[in-house]
Amino acid sequence: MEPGTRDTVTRAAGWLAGAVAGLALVVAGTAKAMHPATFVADIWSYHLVPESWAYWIAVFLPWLEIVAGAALITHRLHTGARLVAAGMFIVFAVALAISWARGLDVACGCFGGGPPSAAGATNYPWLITRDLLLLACLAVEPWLARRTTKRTQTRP
Amino acid sequence: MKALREVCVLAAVAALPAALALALHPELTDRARTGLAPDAVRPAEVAAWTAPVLWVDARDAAAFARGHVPGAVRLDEDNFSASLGGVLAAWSPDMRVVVYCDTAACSRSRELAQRLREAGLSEVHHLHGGWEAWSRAHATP
Amino acid sequence: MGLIDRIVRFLIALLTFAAPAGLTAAGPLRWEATEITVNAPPLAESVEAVFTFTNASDKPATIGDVHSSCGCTVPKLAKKLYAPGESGEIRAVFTIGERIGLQEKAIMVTTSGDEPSHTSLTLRVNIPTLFEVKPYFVIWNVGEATTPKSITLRLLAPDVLGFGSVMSRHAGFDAVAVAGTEPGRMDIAITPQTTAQGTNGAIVVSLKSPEGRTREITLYAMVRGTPTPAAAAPAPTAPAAAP
Repeated sequence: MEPGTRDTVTRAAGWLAGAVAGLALVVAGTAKAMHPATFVADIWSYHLVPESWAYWIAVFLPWLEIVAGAALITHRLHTGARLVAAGMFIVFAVALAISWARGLDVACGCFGGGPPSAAGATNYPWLITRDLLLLACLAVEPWLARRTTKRTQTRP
Repeated sequence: MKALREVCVLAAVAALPAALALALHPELTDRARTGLAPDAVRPAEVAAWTAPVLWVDARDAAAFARGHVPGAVRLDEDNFSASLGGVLAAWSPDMRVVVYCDTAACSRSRELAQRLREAGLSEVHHLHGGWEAWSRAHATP
Repeated sequence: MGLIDRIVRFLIALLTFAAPAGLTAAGPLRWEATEITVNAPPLAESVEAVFTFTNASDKPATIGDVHSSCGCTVPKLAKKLYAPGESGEIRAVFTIGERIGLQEKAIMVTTSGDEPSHTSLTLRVNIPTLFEVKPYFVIWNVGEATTPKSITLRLLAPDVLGFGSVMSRHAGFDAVAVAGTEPGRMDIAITPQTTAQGTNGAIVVSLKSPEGRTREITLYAMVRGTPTPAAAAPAPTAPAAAP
Protein backbone atom coordinates (compact mmCIF):
# COMPACT_ATOMS: atom_id res chain seq x y z
CA MET A 1 0.00 0.00 0.00
CA GLU A 2 1.26 3.47 -0.84
CA PRO A 3 2.42 5.38 2.27
CA GLY A 4 -0.12 8.14 1.54
CA THR A 5 -2.97 5.67 1.25
CA ARG A 6 -1.82 3.84 4.37
CA ASP A 7 -1.81 7.13 6.30
CA THR A 8 -5.36 7.87 5.14
CA VAL A 9 -6.58 4.41 6.14
CA THR A 10 -4.82 4.73 9.50
CA ARG A 11 -6.38 8.12 10.15
CA ALA A 12 -9.82 6.85 9.14
CA ALA A 13 -9.48 3.80 11.39
CA GLY A 14 -8.47 6.02 14.30
CA TRP A 15 -11.37 8.36 13.68
CA LEU A 16 -13.85 5.47 13.36
CA ALA A 17 -12.71 3.88 16.61
CA GLY A 18 -13.05 7.21 18.41
CA ALA A 19 -16.46 7.75 16.83
CA VAL A 20 -17.69 4.41 18.19
CA ALA A 21 -16.76 5.47 21.71
CA GLY A 22 -18.27 8.90 21.01
CA LEU A 23 -21.54 7.39 19.87
CA ALA A 24 -21.72 5.28 23.05
CA LEU A 25 -21.28 8.45 25.12
CA VAL A 26 -23.94 10.34 23.17
CA VAL A 27 -26.44 7.51 23.66
CA ALA A 28 -25.61 7.24 27.36
CA GLY A 29 -25.89 10.98 27.89
CA THR A 30 -29.13 11.26 25.93
CA ALA A 31 -30.79 8.45 27.93
CA LYS A 32 -30.05 10.36 31.13
CA ALA A 33 -30.74 13.85 29.77
CA MET A 34 -34.27 12.74 28.79
CA HIS A 35 -35.13 11.74 32.37
CA PRO A 36 -33.48 14.35 34.57
CA ALA A 37 -35.96 14.02 37.42
CA THR A 38 -35.35 10.28 37.75
CA PHE A 39 -31.62 10.82 37.48
CA VAL A 40 -31.74 13.44 40.23
CA ALA A 41 -33.69 11.03 42.44
CA ASP A 42 -31.15 8.28 41.70
CA ILE A 43 -28.15 10.45 42.61
CA TRP A 44 -29.87 11.89 45.65
CA SER A 45 -30.90 8.44 46.93
CA TYR A 46 -27.28 7.58 47.83
CA HIS A 47 -27.02 10.63 50.11
CA LEU A 48 -23.42 11.24 49.14
CA VAL A 49 -23.92 14.77 47.82
CA PRO A 50 -26.20 17.61 48.95
CA GLU A 51 -29.52 17.88 47.11
CA SER A 52 -28.56 21.00 45.17
CA TRP A 53 -25.38 19.26 43.96
CA ALA A 54 -27.51 16.30 42.84
CA TYR A 55 -29.51 18.63 40.55
CA TRP A 56 -26.40 20.14 38.99
CA ILE A 57 -24.69 16.78 38.54
CA ALA A 58 -27.84 15.22 37.08
CA VAL A 59 -28.27 18.03 34.59
CA PHE A 60 -24.63 18.74 33.69
CA LEU A 61 -23.12 15.24 33.45
CA PRO A 62 -25.36 13.89 30.67
CA TRP A 63 -24.68 16.99 28.58
CA LEU A 64 -20.94 16.65 29.15
CA GLU A 65 -21.24 13.07 27.87
CA ILE A 66 -23.20 14.22 24.83
CA VAL A 67 -20.80 17.06 24.03
CA ALA A 68 -17.70 14.89 24.53
CA GLY A 69 -19.26 12.14 22.42
CA ALA A 70 -20.11 14.60 19.66
CA ALA A 71 -16.55 15.97 19.81
CA LEU A 72 -15.17 12.44 19.30
CA ILE A 73 -17.51 11.81 16.37
CA THR A 74 -16.72 15.11 14.66
CA HIS A 75 -13.03 14.96 15.62
CA ARG A 76 -13.17 18.47 17.11
CA LEU A 77 -11.45 19.09 20.47
CA HIS A 78 -10.87 15.34 20.33
CA THR A 79 -7.90 15.34 22.72
CA GLY A 80 -9.96 16.82 25.51
CA ALA A 81 -12.93 14.67 24.54
CA ARG A 82 -10.75 11.56 24.73
CA LEU A 83 -9.61 12.59 28.20
CA VAL A 84 -13.21 13.10 29.41
CA ALA A 85 -14.37 9.83 27.87
CA ALA A 86 -11.39 7.84 29.16
CA GLY A 87 -11.93 9.22 32.64
CA MET A 88 -15.57 8.14 32.60
CA PHE A 89 -14.84 4.69 31.19
CA ILE A 90 -12.03 4.06 33.68
CA VAL A 91 -14.12 5.16 36.69
CA PHE A 92 -17.05 3.06 35.45
CA ALA A 93 -14.81 -0.02 34.98
CA VAL A 94 -13.22 0.38 38.40
CA ALA A 95 -16.62 0.86 40.07
CA LEU A 96 -17.97 -2.24 38.31
CA ALA A 97 -14.92 -4.26 39.33
CA ILE A 98 -15.22 -3.23 42.97
CA SER A 99 -18.96 -3.88 42.89
CA TRP A 100 -18.30 -7.35 41.45
CA ALA A 101 -15.67 -8.10 44.07
CA ARG A 102 -18.06 -7.08 46.84
CA GLY A 103 -20.93 -9.14 45.45
CA LEU A 104 -23.26 -6.20 44.86
CA ASP A 105 -26.13 -6.50 42.43
CA VAL A 106 -26.59 -3.33 40.48
CA ALA A 107 -28.84 -4.84 37.77
CA CYS A 108 -27.38 -2.54 35.16
CA GLY A 109 -29.67 -2.34 32.16
CA CYS A 110 -26.96 -1.07 29.86
CA PHE A 111 -28.08 -0.89 26.22
CA GLY A 112 -30.97 -3.24 26.78
CA GLY A 113 -29.46 -5.53 29.37
CA GLY A 114 -26.72 -7.40 27.54
CA PRO A 115 -26.60 -11.19 27.27
CA PRO A 116 -29.08 -13.12 29.40
CA SER A 117 -27.90 -13.97 32.88
CA ALA A 118 -29.38 -15.37 36.06
CA ALA A 119 -32.52 -13.47 36.98
CA GLY A 120 -31.58 -10.36 38.92
CA ALA A 121 -27.80 -10.99 38.74
CA THR A 122 -25.57 -8.32 37.22
CA ASN A 123 -23.51 -9.65 34.31
CA TYR A 124 -20.20 -8.11 35.36
CA PRO A 125 -17.88 -9.83 32.85
CA TRP A 126 -19.98 -8.52 29.98
CA LEU A 127 -20.33 -5.00 31.41
CA ILE A 128 -16.63 -4.63 32.18
CA THR A 129 -15.60 -6.10 28.83
CA ARG A 130 -17.86 -3.71 26.97
CA ASP A 131 -16.49 -0.77 28.95
CA LEU A 132 -12.87 -1.78 28.35
CA LEU A 133 -13.58 -2.23 24.62
CA LEU A 134 -14.86 1.33 24.48
CA LEU A 135 -11.74 2.47 26.36
CA ALA A 136 -9.65 0.60 23.81
CA CYS A 137 -11.46 2.43 21.00
CA LEU A 138 -10.17 5.70 22.47
CA ALA A 139 -6.62 4.38 22.43
CA VAL A 140 -6.68 3.31 18.77
CA GLU A 141 -6.06 6.74 17.23
CA PRO A 142 -3.09 7.73 19.47
CA TRP A 143 -1.59 4.27 19.06
CA LEU A 144 -1.93 4.33 15.27
CA ALA A 145 -0.59 7.90 15.19
CA ARG A 146 2.48 6.79 17.19
CA ARG A 147 3.03 3.87 14.77
CA THR A 148 2.75 6.19 11.77
CA THR A 149 5.29 8.57 13.33
CA LYS A 150 7.75 5.67 13.97
CA ARG A 151 7.29 4.42 10.42
CA THR A 152 7.91 7.89 9.04
CA GLN A 153 11.03 8.27 11.18
CA THR A 154 12.46 4.88 10.11
CA ARG A 155 11.59 5.32 6.42
CA PRO A 156 14.74 5.97 4.43
CA MET B 1 -2.10 21.33 28.61
CA LYS B 2 -3.89 21.19 25.27
CA ALA B 3 -6.07 18.34 26.57
CA LEU B 4 -7.00 20.24 29.75
CA ARG B 5 -7.79 23.37 27.77
CA GLU B 6 -10.06 21.36 25.50
CA VAL B 7 -11.73 19.73 28.52
CA CYS B 8 -12.55 23.22 29.86
CA VAL B 9 -14.00 24.24 26.51
CA LEU B 10 -16.10 21.05 26.39
CA ALA B 11 -17.33 21.67 29.93
CA ALA B 12 -18.26 25.25 29.04
CA VAL B 13 -20.11 24.09 25.92
CA ALA B 14 -21.96 21.41 27.94
CA ALA B 15 -22.94 23.97 30.58
CA LEU B 16 -25.09 25.88 28.07
CA PRO B 17 -27.68 23.16 27.27
CA ALA B 18 -27.47 22.04 30.91
CA ALA B 19 -28.48 25.52 32.08
CA LEU B 20 -31.27 25.61 29.49
CA ALA B 21 -32.52 22.19 30.65
CA LEU B 22 -32.49 23.36 34.27
CA ALA B 23 -34.58 26.39 33.31
CA LEU B 24 -36.93 24.82 30.77
CA HIS B 25 -37.20 21.03 31.14
CA PRO B 26 -40.76 20.20 32.34
CA GLU B 27 -39.42 17.56 34.76
CA LEU B 28 -37.25 20.16 36.41
CA THR B 29 -39.84 22.89 36.99
CA ASP B 30 -40.46 23.76 40.61
CA ARG B 31 -43.59 21.63 40.90
CA ALA B 32 -42.05 18.68 39.08
CA ARG B 33 -38.98 18.83 41.34
CA THR B 34 -41.20 18.09 44.26
CA GLY B 35 -43.14 15.50 42.28
CA LEU B 36 -46.32 17.55 42.09
CA ALA B 37 -49.02 16.50 39.62
CA PRO B 38 -51.03 19.28 37.96
CA ASP B 39 -54.04 18.72 40.23
CA ALA B 40 -52.01 18.30 43.41
CA VAL B 41 -52.01 21.00 46.07
CA ARG B 42 -49.95 21.59 49.20
CA PRO B 43 -51.44 22.40 52.63
CA ALA B 44 -50.16 25.99 52.45
CA GLU B 45 -51.86 26.53 49.09
CA VAL B 46 -55.18 25.24 50.44
CA ALA B 47 -54.90 27.49 53.52
CA ALA B 48 -54.62 30.49 51.20
CA TRP B 49 -57.84 29.73 49.34
CA THR B 50 -60.84 31.98 49.98
CA ALA B 51 -63.37 29.46 48.61
CA PRO B 52 -64.82 26.97 51.10
CA VAL B 53 -63.00 23.62 51.12
CA LEU B 54 -64.43 20.14 51.48
CA TRP B 55 -61.79 17.73 52.73
CA VAL B 56 -62.28 14.12 51.62
CA ASP B 57 -60.39 11.42 53.50
CA ALA B 58 -59.45 8.43 51.31
CA ARG B 59 -57.89 6.36 54.13
CA ASP B 60 -59.36 3.36 55.90
CA ALA B 61 -61.79 3.69 58.79
CA ALA B 62 -59.19 3.00 61.46
CA ALA B 63 -56.85 5.73 60.21
CA PHE B 64 -59.78 8.15 59.96
CA ALA B 65 -60.81 7.39 63.54
CA ARG B 66 -57.27 8.03 64.80
CA GLY B 67 -57.30 11.51 63.34
CA HIS B 68 -58.45 13.45 60.31
CA VAL B 69 -58.72 16.98 58.98
CA PRO B 70 -61.48 18.73 60.94
CA GLY B 71 -64.74 18.51 59.02
CA ALA B 72 -63.38 15.89 56.59
CA VAL B 73 -65.71 13.30 55.11
CA ARG B 74 -64.49 9.76 54.49
CA LEU B 75 -64.80 8.25 51.02
CA ASP B 76 -64.51 4.48 50.84
CA GLU B 77 -62.95 3.32 47.58
CA ASP B 78 -64.33 -0.19 48.17
CA ASN B 79 -67.90 1.16 48.24
CA PHE B 80 -67.53 4.23 46.11
CA SER B 81 -71.11 4.92 45.06
CA ALA B 82 -72.57 4.20 48.49
CA SER B 83 -70.07 6.37 50.37
CA LEU B 84 -70.33 9.15 47.77
CA GLY B 85 -73.58 10.13 49.48
CA GLY B 86 -71.68 11.29 52.55
CA VAL B 87 -69.44 13.45 50.40
CA LEU B 88 -72.36 14.95 48.49
CA ALA B 89 -74.27 15.67 51.71
CA ALA B 90 -71.39 17.91 52.81
CA TRP B 91 -70.63 19.33 49.36
CA SER B 92 -72.00 22.38 47.62
CA PRO B 93 -71.16 23.62 44.11
CA ASP B 94 -69.16 26.60 45.42
CA MET B 95 -66.72 24.37 47.29
CA ARG B 96 -63.27 23.16 46.32
CA VAL B 97 -62.71 19.51 47.10
CA VAL B 98 -59.36 18.22 48.36
CA VAL B 99 -58.84 14.46 48.66
CA TYR B 100 -56.05 13.13 50.85
CA CYS B 101 -54.64 9.78 51.91
CA ASP B 102 -51.66 8.82 54.05
CA THR B 103 -48.49 10.15 52.48
CA ALA B 104 -46.98 11.32 49.20
CA ALA B 105 -46.43 7.67 48.27
CA CYS B 106 -50.15 6.87 48.42
CA SER B 107 -51.90 7.07 45.04
CA ARG B 108 -55.43 6.55 46.35
CA SER B 109 -56.15 10.27 46.74
CA ARG B 110 -55.21 10.97 43.12
CA GLU B 111 -57.35 8.05 41.88
CA LEU B 112 -60.37 9.04 43.99
CA ALA B 113 -60.01 12.68 42.94
CA GLN B 114 -60.28 11.51 39.34
CA ARG B 115 -63.34 9.39 40.15
CA LEU B 116 -65.00 12.36 41.86
CA ARG B 117 -64.40 14.46 38.76
CA GLU B 118 -65.93 11.75 36.60
CA ALA B 119 -68.85 11.56 39.04
CA GLY B 120 -69.64 15.19 38.27
CA LEU B 121 -67.80 17.26 40.90
CA SER B 122 -65.70 20.15 39.66
CA GLU B 123 -62.66 21.76 41.33
CA VAL B 124 -61.35 18.51 42.78
CA HIS B 125 -57.72 18.31 43.89
CA HIS B 126 -55.61 15.89 45.85
CA LEU B 127 -53.28 16.82 48.69
CA HIS B 128 -49.60 16.33 48.01
CA GLY B 129 -48.04 14.59 51.00
CA GLY B 130 -51.40 13.49 52.35
CA TRP B 131 -52.35 13.40 56.01
CA GLU B 132 -48.67 13.39 56.92
CA ALA B 133 -48.09 16.75 55.20
CA TRP B 134 -51.26 18.26 56.66
CA SER B 135 -50.31 17.11 60.17
CA ARG B 136 -46.82 18.60 59.77
CA ALA B 137 -48.26 21.90 58.56
CA HIS B 138 -50.66 22.06 61.49
CA ALA B 139 -48.41 20.69 64.22
CA THR B 140 -48.59 22.76 67.37
CA PRO B 141 -45.09 23.97 68.31
CA MET C 1 -25.46 -0.18 52.77
CA GLY C 2 -21.81 0.52 53.70
CA LEU C 3 -20.09 3.72 52.53
CA ILE C 4 -17.92 1.97 49.94
CA ASP C 5 -20.94 0.14 48.55
CA ARG C 6 -22.83 3.43 48.34
CA ILE C 7 -19.96 5.17 46.56
CA VAL C 8 -19.56 2.33 44.10
CA ARG C 9 -23.30 2.19 43.34
CA PHE C 10 -23.36 5.99 43.09
CA LEU C 11 -20.57 5.98 40.49
CA ILE C 12 -22.25 3.23 38.52
CA ALA C 13 -25.57 5.10 38.60
CA LEU C 14 -23.77 8.26 37.50
CA LEU C 15 -22.02 6.72 34.53
CA THR C 16 -24.49 4.03 33.53
CA PHE C 17 -25.20 3.73 29.84
CA ALA C 18 -28.89 3.21 30.43
CA ALA C 19 -31.71 5.52 31.36
CA PRO C 20 -31.70 6.05 35.12
CA ALA C 21 -33.75 3.36 36.78
CA GLY C 22 -33.56 4.04 40.49
CA LEU C 23 -31.30 1.34 41.86
CA THR C 24 -32.41 -0.15 45.15
CA ALA C 25 -30.53 -2.14 47.74
CA ALA C 26 -31.03 -5.67 46.39
CA GLY C 27 -30.11 -7.76 49.40
CA PRO C 28 -30.03 -11.56 49.58
CA LEU C 29 -33.32 -12.32 47.85
CA ARG C 30 -33.58 -12.97 44.10
CA TRP C 31 -37.07 -12.46 42.76
CA GLU C 32 -38.54 -14.37 39.84
CA ALA C 33 -40.50 -11.21 39.10
CA THR C 34 -40.93 -7.97 41.04
CA GLU C 35 -43.87 -6.80 38.92
CA ILE C 36 -46.93 -8.92 38.23
CA THR C 37 -49.95 -7.93 36.19
CA VAL C 38 -53.25 -9.73 36.69
CA ASN C 39 -56.39 -9.42 34.59
CA ALA C 40 -59.31 -9.66 36.99
CA PRO C 41 -62.21 -11.76 35.71
CA PRO C 42 -65.45 -9.78 35.42
CA LEU C 43 -67.33 -9.58 38.71
CA ALA C 44 -64.44 -11.16 40.62
CA GLU C 45 -64.33 -10.05 44.24
CA SER C 46 -60.59 -10.54 44.60
CA VAL C 47 -57.49 -11.70 42.73
CA GLU C 48 -54.26 -13.23 43.92
CA ALA C 49 -50.68 -12.88 42.68
CA VAL C 50 -47.69 -14.92 43.80
CA PHE C 51 -44.23 -13.34 44.05
CA THR C 52 -41.58 -16.09 44.21
CA PHE C 53 -38.10 -15.52 45.60
CA THR C 54 -34.94 -17.45 46.49
CA ASN C 55 -32.32 -16.71 49.11
CA ALA C 56 -29.32 -16.37 46.79
CA SER C 57 -26.85 -15.50 49.52
CA ASP C 58 -24.73 -17.88 51.58
CA LYS C 59 -26.37 -16.85 54.87
CA PRO C 60 -29.92 -17.31 56.22
CA ALA C 61 -32.17 -14.44 55.21
CA THR C 62 -34.90 -13.08 57.48
CA ILE C 63 -37.80 -11.15 56.05
CA GLY C 64 -38.42 -8.52 58.67
CA ASP C 65 -41.46 -6.79 57.27
CA VAL C 66 -43.91 -7.10 54.42
CA HIS C 67 -46.59 -4.49 53.99
CA SER C 68 -48.68 -3.00 51.26
CA SER C 69 -49.38 0.58 50.32
CA CYS C 70 -53.12 -0.18 50.44
CA GLY C 71 -55.41 -1.99 52.85
CA CYS C 72 -57.02 -3.55 49.78
CA THR C 73 -53.88 -5.63 49.16
CA VAL C 74 -52.99 -8.15 51.83
CA PRO C 75 -49.58 -9.85 51.47
CA LYS C 76 -49.24 -13.32 53.00
CA LEU C 77 -45.91 -14.89 53.90
CA ALA C 78 -45.65 -18.50 55.17
CA LYS C 79 -42.51 -17.90 57.26
CA LYS C 80 -39.80 -15.30 57.79
CA LEU C 81 -36.53 -17.24 57.86
CA TYR C 82 -35.06 -18.73 54.67
CA ALA C 83 -31.94 -20.86 54.49
CA PRO C 84 -29.35 -20.25 51.73
CA GLY C 85 -30.81 -21.51 48.47
CA GLU C 86 -34.30 -21.88 49.90
CA SER C 87 -37.23 -20.49 47.95
CA GLY C 88 -40.37 -18.88 49.24
CA GLU C 89 -43.32 -16.88 48.05
CA ILE C 90 -45.44 -13.91 48.97
CA ARG C 91 -49.12 -14.26 48.07
CA ALA C 92 -50.77 -10.90 47.52
CA VAL C 93 -54.56 -10.89 47.68
CA PHE C 94 -56.15 -7.81 46.18
CA THR C 95 -59.79 -7.06 47.04
CA ILE C 96 -61.49 -5.37 44.13
CA GLY C 97 -64.53 -3.71 45.71
CA GLU C 98 -65.83 -0.96 43.43
CA ARG C 99 -62.47 -0.21 41.90
CA ILE C 100 -62.20 0.04 38.14
CA GLY C 101 -59.50 0.23 35.53
CA LEU C 102 -55.79 -0.34 36.11
CA GLN C 103 -54.87 -0.53 39.79
CA GLU C 104 -51.23 -0.49 40.82
CA LYS C 105 -50.32 -1.40 44.39
CA ALA C 106 -46.88 -1.64 45.95
CA ILE C 107 -45.73 -4.26 48.45
CA MET C 108 -42.60 -3.41 50.41
CA VAL C 109 -40.42 -6.30 51.55
CA THR C 110 -37.65 -5.63 54.02
CA THR C 111 -34.98 -8.11 55.01
CA SER C 112 -33.24 -7.66 58.33
CA GLY C 113 -29.67 -8.52 59.30
CA ASP C 114 -26.23 -7.10 58.63
CA GLU C 115 -27.28 -5.54 55.35
CA PRO C 116 -31.01 -4.74 55.44
CA SER C 117 -32.52 -4.49 52.01
CA HIS C 118 -35.76 -3.15 50.65
CA THR C 119 -37.59 -4.45 47.65
CA SER C 120 -40.70 -2.91 46.20
CA LEU C 121 -42.98 -5.41 44.50
CA THR C 122 -45.64 -4.09 42.17
CA LEU C 123 -49.01 -5.71 41.67
CA ARG C 124 -51.00 -4.39 38.72
CA VAL C 125 -54.59 -5.47 38.38
CA ASN C 126 -56.65 -4.75 35.29
CA ILE C 127 -60.23 -4.52 36.47
CA PRO C 128 -62.70 -4.62 33.61
CA THR C 129 -65.02 -1.66 33.53
CA LEU C 130 -68.47 -3.14 33.09
CA PHE C 131 -70.45 0.07 33.21
CA GLU C 132 -70.11 3.85 33.14
CA VAL C 133 -72.24 6.34 35.01
CA LYS C 134 -72.24 10.03 34.19
CA PRO C 135 -72.81 11.93 36.39
CA TYR C 136 -73.47 10.26 39.75
CA PHE C 137 -75.82 12.99 40.89
CA VAL C 138 -78.28 15.56 39.66
CA ILE C 139 -79.01 18.80 41.42
CA TRP C 140 -81.76 21.44 41.36
CA ASN C 141 -81.69 24.83 42.98
CA VAL C 142 -84.51 25.67 45.34
CA GLY C 143 -87.30 27.24 43.31
CA GLU C 144 -86.04 25.79 40.04
CA ALA C 145 -88.58 24.17 37.73
CA THR C 146 -89.15 20.48 38.49
CA THR C 147 -87.89 19.45 35.06
CA PRO C 148 -86.53 15.87 34.92
CA LYS C 149 -82.75 15.57 34.83
CA SER C 150 -80.96 12.57 33.48
CA ILE C 151 -78.10 10.31 34.53
CA THR C 152 -76.63 8.18 31.76
CA LEU C 153 -75.75 4.57 32.46
CA ARG C 154 -73.72 2.73 29.81
CA LEU C 155 -73.47 -1.03 30.09
CA LEU C 156 -70.14 -1.93 28.48
CA ALA C 157 -70.58 -5.72 28.70
CA PRO C 158 -74.36 -6.31 28.82
CA ASP C 159 -73.90 -10.07 28.45
CA VAL C 160 -71.83 -10.03 31.66
CA LEU C 161 -73.76 -7.41 33.61
CA GLY C 162 -77.11 -6.15 32.40
CA PHE C 163 -79.72 -3.72 33.60
CA GLY C 164 -81.99 -4.97 36.37
CA SER C 165 -84.06 -2.23 37.98
CA VAL C 166 -84.06 1.32 39.27
CA MET C 167 -85.68 2.41 42.51
CA SER C 168 -85.85 5.73 44.26
CA ARG C 169 -85.26 5.44 47.99
CA HIS C 170 -86.69 8.88 48.66
CA ALA C 171 -90.35 9.75 48.25
CA GLY C 172 -89.39 13.22 47.06
CA PHE C 173 -87.87 11.95 43.83
CA ASP C 174 -89.20 9.77 41.02
CA ALA C 175 -86.80 7.71 38.94
CA VAL C 176 -87.53 6.02 35.63
CA ALA C 177 -85.10 4.14 33.39
CA VAL C 178 -85.48 4.62 29.65
CA ALA C 179 -83.46 2.66 27.10
CA GLY C 180 -81.26 4.98 25.10
CA THR C 181 -80.76 4.93 21.34
CA GLU C 182 -77.30 3.34 21.54
CA PRO C 183 -76.95 -0.32 22.60
CA GLY C 184 -76.27 -0.70 26.31
CA ARG C 185 -77.34 2.86 27.14
CA MET C 186 -79.95 3.57 29.81
CA ASP C 187 -81.07 7.06 30.73
CA ILE C 188 -82.25 7.37 34.31
CA ALA C 189 -84.69 10.28 34.38
CA ILE C 190 -85.10 11.75 37.85
CA THR C 191 -87.84 14.21 38.74
CA PRO C 192 -88.25 15.99 42.06
CA GLN C 193 -91.76 16.26 43.47
CA THR C 194 -90.99 19.80 44.55
CA THR C 195 -88.03 22.15 44.74
CA ALA C 196 -89.57 24.35 47.40
CA GLN C 197 -86.89 23.36 49.88
CA GLY C 198 -83.57 21.57 50.04
CA THR C 199 -83.55 17.79 50.19
CA ASN C 200 -81.30 14.85 49.31
CA GLY C 201 -82.33 11.49 47.96
CA ALA C 202 -80.75 8.26 46.78
CA ILE C 203 -81.66 6.25 43.69
CA VAL C 204 -80.45 2.68 43.52
CA VAL C 205 -79.76 1.06 40.16
CA SER C 206 -79.49 -2.70 40.25
CA LEU C 207 -77.45 -4.54 37.60
CA LYS C 208 -77.74 -8.31 37.13
CA SER C 209 -75.51 -10.99 35.67
CA PRO C 210 -76.89 -14.06 33.88
CA GLU C 211 -75.86 -16.15 36.93
CA GLY C 212 -78.07 -14.01 39.11
CA ARG C 213 -75.36 -11.93 40.77
CA THR C 214 -76.26 -8.31 41.34
CA ARG C 215 -74.30 -5.09 41.56
CA GLU C 216 -75.95 -2.01 43.02
CA ILE C 217 -74.99 1.53 42.11
CA THR C 218 -76.22 4.39 44.26
CA LEU C 219 -77.03 7.64 42.48
CA TYR C 220 -78.04 10.88 44.12
CA ALA C 221 -80.60 13.62 43.63
CA MET C 222 -80.36 16.87 45.52
CA VAL C 223 -82.29 20.09 45.85
CA ARG C 224 -79.98 22.71 47.19
CA GLY C 225 -80.18 26.31 48.27
CA THR C 226 -82.16 28.48 50.62
CA PRO C 227 -85.84 29.12 49.86
CA THR C 228 -86.18 32.78 48.81
CA PRO C 229 -89.07 34.76 50.36
CA ALA C 230 -92.00 35.29 47.91
CA ALA C 231 -91.57 38.60 45.95
CA ALA C 232 -93.50 41.46 47.76
CA ALA C 233 -96.89 42.12 46.13
CA PRO C 234 -97.25 45.70 44.91
CA ALA C 235 -99.12 47.92 47.47
CA PRO C 236 -102.79 48.23 46.49
CA THR C 237 -103.56 51.67 45.08
CA ALA C 238 -106.40 53.59 46.71
CA PRO C 239 -109.53 53.42 44.61
CA ALA C 240 -110.18 56.61 42.71
CA ALA C 241 -112.57 58.85 44.58
CA ALA C 242 -116.04 58.85 43.10
CA PRO C 243 -116.78 62.07 41.33
